[in-house]
Amino acid sequence: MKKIKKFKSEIIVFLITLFFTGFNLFGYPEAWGDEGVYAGQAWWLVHFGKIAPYTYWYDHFPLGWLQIGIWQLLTGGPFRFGMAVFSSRLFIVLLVSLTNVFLFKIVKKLTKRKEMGFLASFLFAASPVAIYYHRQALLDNIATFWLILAFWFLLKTKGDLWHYFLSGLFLGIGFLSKESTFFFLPGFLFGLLVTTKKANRSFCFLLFLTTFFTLISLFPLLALLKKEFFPSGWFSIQPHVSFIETFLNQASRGKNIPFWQNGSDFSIALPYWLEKDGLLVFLGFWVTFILLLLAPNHYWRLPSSLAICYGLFLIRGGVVLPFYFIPLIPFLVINTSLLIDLVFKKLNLSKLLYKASLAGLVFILALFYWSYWSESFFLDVTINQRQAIKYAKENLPREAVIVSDFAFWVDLRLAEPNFSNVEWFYKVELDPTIKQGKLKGEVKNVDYIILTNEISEELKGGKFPFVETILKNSNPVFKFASVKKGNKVYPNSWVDIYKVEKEKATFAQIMEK
Amino acid sequence: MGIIEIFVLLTTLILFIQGSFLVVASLYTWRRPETVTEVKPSRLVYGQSKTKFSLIIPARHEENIIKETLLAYNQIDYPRELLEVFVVVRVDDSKTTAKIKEALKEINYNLQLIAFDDLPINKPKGLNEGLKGARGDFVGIFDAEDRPHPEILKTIDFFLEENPGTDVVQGGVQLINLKDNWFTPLSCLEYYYWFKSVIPLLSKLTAVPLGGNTIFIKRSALEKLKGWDETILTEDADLGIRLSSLNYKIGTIYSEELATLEETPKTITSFIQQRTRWVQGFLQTIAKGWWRKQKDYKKQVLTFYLLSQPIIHSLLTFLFLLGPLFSFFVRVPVWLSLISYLPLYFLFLHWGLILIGLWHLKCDYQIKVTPSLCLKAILFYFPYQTLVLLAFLRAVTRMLLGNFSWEKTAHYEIDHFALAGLKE
Repeated sequence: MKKIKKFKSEIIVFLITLFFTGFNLFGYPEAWGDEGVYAGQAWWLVHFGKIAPYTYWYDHFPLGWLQIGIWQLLTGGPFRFGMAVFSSRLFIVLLVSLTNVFLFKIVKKLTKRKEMGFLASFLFAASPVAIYYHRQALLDNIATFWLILAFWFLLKTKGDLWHYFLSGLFLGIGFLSKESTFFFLPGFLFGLLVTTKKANRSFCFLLFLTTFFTLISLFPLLALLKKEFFPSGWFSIQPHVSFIETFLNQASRGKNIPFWQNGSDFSIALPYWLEKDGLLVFLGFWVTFILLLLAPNHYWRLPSSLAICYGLFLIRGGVVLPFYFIPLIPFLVINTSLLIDLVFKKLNLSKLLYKASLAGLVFILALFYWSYWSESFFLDVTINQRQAIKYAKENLPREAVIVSDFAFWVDLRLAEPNFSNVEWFYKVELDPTIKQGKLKGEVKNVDYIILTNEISEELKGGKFPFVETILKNSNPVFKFASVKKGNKVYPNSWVDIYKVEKEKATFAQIMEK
Repeated sequence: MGIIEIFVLLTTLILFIQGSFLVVASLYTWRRPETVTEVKPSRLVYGQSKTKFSLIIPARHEENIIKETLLAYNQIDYPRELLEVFVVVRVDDSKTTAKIKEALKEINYNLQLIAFDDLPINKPKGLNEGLKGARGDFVGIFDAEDRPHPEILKTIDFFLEENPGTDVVQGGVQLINLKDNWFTPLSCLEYYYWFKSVIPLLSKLTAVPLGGNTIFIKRSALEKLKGWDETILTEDADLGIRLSSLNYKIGTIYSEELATLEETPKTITSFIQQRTRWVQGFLQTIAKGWWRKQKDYKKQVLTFYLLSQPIIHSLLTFLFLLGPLFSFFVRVPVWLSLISYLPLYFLFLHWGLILIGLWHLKCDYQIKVTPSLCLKAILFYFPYQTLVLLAFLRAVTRMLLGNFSWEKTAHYEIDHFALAGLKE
């Protein structure tokens, strides 16, 4: 009981986050392909002992989905809570709630005010942009947990070597969960300079850097051990995936045009973020720079430095997917809270007025966020995805070859009654062992395609001609129309099931040849 | 899981334990900024000196250096009525005896020459002979080439006053001939971390294999233990374990200004001989079984583990490379290979410690440390470990052959003018 009292604030923060992020978790937002990918890879890793169901191509180190896999094992498999994605989401929500506990401690430590910690935690839990992304089973959420933990140990230490070891360890785990964590490193080095004392500074750096770099070296090491580090043809004739090729491919992904130009990935992602929570994004951006100038000490500059380091990564000109925003959220929240605290301290408010002002701020934020909360708490936009799975299981033959999105690939592939021939559309196009091997490059060898908005958007780029041909030679069997609320349509919620017309397909392909 | 997998996992686990211990022990003093000063003795205020010291200097064929050493004791700033010095030689060592007699005419403190004529001829024998005549509260031990800092006795006296109940004080010893040979930087660094960090940790854990000099032991404790064991090749470590087992309180101090400066053997042969003696001595101490007299099971295990360090260290260093070798020559699962690579972390840390240690030696002892010396220290890491391994194998061979003869480490005349410049 005493221990519970001691951690009362932390427990409150945890529960508040759990509520905002977890309420209607399985109904909102739609299950994304990436969420399905990690749910599937997680189960493949812990249950089948393989890094991924398809050829692993070093897109990420498997530690992120290993953590999801351990959760799946502990909770009795990936389908314990319905769709495989839902189980992963629950794990993520718990992790995000823990992240918020540490965020609370960080703000409390920096401002020396518990109330400001609560305000920051409220913002982190209740901001629409946070709710939206924190519900998704993405590696970025896992990495952010480790990142915040690493930052907490950097901040709480008074030059203790053990804390620097832990900070390096957690940052390394963060990297192995999602590589973009690496871009926070310069900020951490600044943190080391700020928090260490001359007496043992060199050893603090040694422990932090050695721990971090040893961990991140596991990624190329994995490729070396699997003899897949170098590009095909360097040391073997056999074609294979390669760490270097993937790295170069990932590095050159995106449109590679300056971030301020129309059409750059950043300029496309920014409206997404502003639409979800313009207040936090806008405020957080300016506050980050203002704090660099106005911060009373270097400790206060650390979150700004970290935000700027990651911000530079976002505006580098390469690929920026909207969910890349996730690791930035806690730092924008921290910076905003710090600036509010600075203003309040300048105003020199009485304790009562201070608390009342904070309560007022929370109230204003609640009014501001209300409409989004009602959407995230009560709207069921995954209903079509669940129905589509149900429909497929009830109506399609077990041996049917189905091309599908990964959002429900695992559910179709493994949950009884299962389809052993369901394939992810991405691999149907790009993995030679599926396209040329299993399907022999013939559309007629496919029976059904389950189309979602995500696949549909991908097809627009013209990078999936084979999948396009499959679709062209198919007819709809069943359509689950987009979810609507008032005038608002949720375009990612529709699912269509198409059946391939074999004769039409054969003829069309012959004509094409 | 097959035998190979179990073997790799076990080896990795052992390497992790050993690696963690070495890193924790090497960094103990620096664990927090405020702990760095913990090992530094207070030298600001000296009260009235109270402790009577009997310093013992065993000497054997030290005619080149003994006179200078004894004359250096003139500089010791301590009341003469509270100081007596015993220099112990064997009767057959006439040259050393002659030099001591020469020194006797020029000294300003109470020096007594003790000559013995029985066996064995080794350091513990000399120490025991000195102990017989000692009347001080504390017995201090220095080697024939050591030049104690003039304030060392005042500092120890003050430490004893500040830490009542202390039975033993281990002072710092530092090897400073970094550039004499390719292996000397690593040997000097071992001493640096051992005396500055490892010994303070062991003192906390109450299991201290003591060093060979700059050590001060309560005479009553020594007499109770009947002095040093003349059959053990590392009589200092053995005495430390015996004192620890009987719960005597062992304190440590380390200060760059007060550390006794020494030189590591300059030739490979004498280096291997010295290491052989250490390994044999530790093995003898294990066999003697005093570690079993530690008061609880945990301490017994810890003491045994500490005494096994020369063996573990000699054998395990090369095992750090086992992971990489395994993945090339033996087919093991990828996850296991990844895990087996993790102990390399400690190797990287060790290299980092080498570089930082060299930097500290440069700053604290004003020794010139060049980038090429740093590079040499890293490049010769494994050749150095090979020497350590050879010494271990030699020690085991000597043990098996029943050869426990004392191989005296050659002492060279240190440039004490240069050292004096280094110290203050």
